[in-house]
Amino acid sequence: MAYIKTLHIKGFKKFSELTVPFNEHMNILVGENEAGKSTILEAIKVILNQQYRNADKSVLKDLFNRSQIDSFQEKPSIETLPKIQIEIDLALDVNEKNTEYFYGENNRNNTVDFGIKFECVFNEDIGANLVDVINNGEIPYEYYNLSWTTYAKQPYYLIRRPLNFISIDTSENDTNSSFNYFNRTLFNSRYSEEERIASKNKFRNELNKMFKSIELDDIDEHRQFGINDKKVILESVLSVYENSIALENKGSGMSSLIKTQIALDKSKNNLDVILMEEPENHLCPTNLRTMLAEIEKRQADSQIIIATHNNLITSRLNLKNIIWITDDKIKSLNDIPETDAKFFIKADNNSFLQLLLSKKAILVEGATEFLLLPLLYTQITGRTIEQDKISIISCSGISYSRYLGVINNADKKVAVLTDNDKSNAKVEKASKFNNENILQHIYMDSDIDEGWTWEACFYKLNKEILENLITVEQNAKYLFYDKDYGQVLGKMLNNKVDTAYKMLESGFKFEIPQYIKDAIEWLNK
Amino acid sequence: MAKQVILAVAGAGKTYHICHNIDENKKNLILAYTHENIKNIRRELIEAFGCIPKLTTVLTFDSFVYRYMILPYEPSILQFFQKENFRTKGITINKPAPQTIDGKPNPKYFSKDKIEHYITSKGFYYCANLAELIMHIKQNRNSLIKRIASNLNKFYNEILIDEFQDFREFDYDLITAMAKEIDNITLVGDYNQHSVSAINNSGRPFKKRTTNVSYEDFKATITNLGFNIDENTLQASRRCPENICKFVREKLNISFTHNNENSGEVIFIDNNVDRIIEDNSIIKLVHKNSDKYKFRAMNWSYSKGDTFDNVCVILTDNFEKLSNHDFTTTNISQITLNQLYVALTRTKGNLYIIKNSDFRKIKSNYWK
Repeated sequence: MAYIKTLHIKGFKKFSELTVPFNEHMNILVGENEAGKSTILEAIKVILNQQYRNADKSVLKDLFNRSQIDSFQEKPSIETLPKIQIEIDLALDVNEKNTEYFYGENNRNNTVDFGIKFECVFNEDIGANLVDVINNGEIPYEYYNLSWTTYAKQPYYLIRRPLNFISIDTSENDTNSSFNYFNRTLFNSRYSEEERIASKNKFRNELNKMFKSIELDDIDEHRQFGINDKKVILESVLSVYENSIALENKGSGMSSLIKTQIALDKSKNNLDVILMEEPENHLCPTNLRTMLAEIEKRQADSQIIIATHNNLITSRLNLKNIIWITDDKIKSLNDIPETDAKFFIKADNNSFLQLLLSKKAILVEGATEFLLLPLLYTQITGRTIEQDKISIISCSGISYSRYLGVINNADKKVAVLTDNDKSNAKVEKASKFNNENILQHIYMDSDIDEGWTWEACFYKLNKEILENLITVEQNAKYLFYDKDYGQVLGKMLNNKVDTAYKMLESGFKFEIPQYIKDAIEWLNK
Repeated sequence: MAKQVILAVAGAGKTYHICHNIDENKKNLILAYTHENIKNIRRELIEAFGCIPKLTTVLTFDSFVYRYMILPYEPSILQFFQKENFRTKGITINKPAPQTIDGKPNPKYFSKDKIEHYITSKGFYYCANLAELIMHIKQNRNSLIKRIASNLNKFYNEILIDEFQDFREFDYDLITAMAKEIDNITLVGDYNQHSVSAINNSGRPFKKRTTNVSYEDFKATITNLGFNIDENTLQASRRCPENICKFVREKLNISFTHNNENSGEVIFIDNNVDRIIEDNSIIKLVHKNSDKYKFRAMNWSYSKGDTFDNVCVILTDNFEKLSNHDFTTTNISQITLNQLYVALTRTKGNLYIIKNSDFRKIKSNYWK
């Protein structure tokens, strides 16, 4: 099967140097905004689709790496001029047509492999007399050459494309051109060259014939209207229709769902590599699930590279497939244990991605803590959690140890706030865990009699305020799991979220349990 | 399949055999020496399969060497000469400076251990030295050709080389070195047509120092290289009629039989020479200078690969006695014999032969 093995970028947009290894089938690019997800997808398009081949050179200004431009301006010379090099290593089948055309040593490692190289460098031959201009710190954009060559040092043209590749971009502003691209690419990969040539030829001939058959009056003795072949190119008037509705006329959500379904049907449409940028855009949760089911079913047929911000997509398509872009570097999450990855595929209603993309995080048991913690944080530190870039993640039923397991290698400070559940063993286990782990700590109250849960801890410290705040019915017992904890605490335990909301809205300043203070202090250390 | 050399006779259908015996569903590489060969191969493939099979590549040997042996491995080549940053730009058909001029050493000559022997200072590869360049690059036991060939072996189900007898010196070395690493390679050629083309007429494998290599010695050499020799498949001419084959067999001592229903006679012309000369439906094959005559003519060696309905061969003085029963080839150079062999075997009809003594009498009437 043909697929992209590795992408290597040098001096392109935000990356001064980056190597991205890809999985044979599923790849999920995640990262914060501006992390460079789109830049990675764009680099692939620059190579395989020869993007910018005919573009005005002024576009280079936006493509060069900022730090390369800076170091050129610091020390202007021909040697320090910015340049872009992108290489893509491919896995191709030696038995397929023309694959030897891509095989050779002309790459960054000088070892034999399949691939294509893109270079955008100053052309010294035509710019020989520009030394003074360059030494003055000016970048002579017009004198740059863009070249695409295979690792066999042969010129790369789209017609020799080693794999069929499509990019489905739902964030594209110019929907018209995005549809044209999709229709054209699909038309090219779906039908053989012979079929395409025959249909184009027939289209042109029939069109001319049809127009003549209308028998319009001539303009005058020597002049008449006719069809201009150059204005009607078959690919540019084609649309994909579903039940006689053109894809363009469907809602953006539906059309991206349909595009994905078509693209994934490898047996018919022969697409080897599918790029998807934020497929979650415009899709309602049900359709997103439909799309994911489709992708899951077909992912072994093609190579799929998805850029996303969506928790559901990342867990459903296996956390192990995540390619995480952080601090201009790539981290693979391939070493996540299989069992954990499988668990998160099923428990797809989770916040893994949020946890991965946060600088620091507090894992809490449920909605109660989730509601109150931001307020308590500000009370303790005088800052907001947003200011300190801290995420609060509610485990909602998923054991925090699952999260800690999958995030283990992510170099991320995570504090867990949990209950001791009246178990001394739990308290001891947590303290042992904290001694053994540097970046992950578990915090709970050590009092197993009166501090066994979040509500109990707060009740213990804020009896007076809470007795006033929480109104109870006379004679009501408010048993919690058949146990009597007194009316107020009993009601708090039975109505956790309501209580939390009441506390939040009350405006009172609550005394905060020590273990919460400890956790926040440790996190900010 | 494995490694085999098919020795063929003229008109046995070498190209036909190559083109009709490939597996069109697998990857094949067909190489030949000249563009003329390539054209014939393409035509034959289209005849056989309706089009050039999708997975079959047909290339001249030179462009194959440049595109699939040199360029992909250029980093290794430049590194060998410690010129990693040198930028090459293409290929030139200009000849590199010769080692000597009029017997005196040429100061512009670069020895073969210098990169300038193979690439001009402006960065153009000398087409003439491509094979030599590849053969030159080896470190200890690690030779570039071995690496290249074992990679090529992954890509192609079979490599076929037509007109094998045209490959000389480094080209020949390159092919034999390459063949060691290739599982399926078939070379097709005609020993008796070697040295006939206008180019590449000297050196390995048909000359050892100054002596010519006989047919038997040639066979021994390629057997030693690990090839099976097939002398049966292409031993009969699909072109020349029985009588012509018999004539060639007897006169030139070449195993040459027929496999066709064509009919034709060998006819020596000593009367009315003009009538044949002026009949433009019959091509005249002259030893050389065909362009100086008014009549339709071609040089013996240029006619290689062609087929004509009727042919008239005008002999050289060496062959005055060709019609005699005591004619022998002793004292006639192998090259001249091979050229005559080519000329005699172009017809699928009659073969008219005019002795030079007869032609000389009327020659001046036909100068352009």
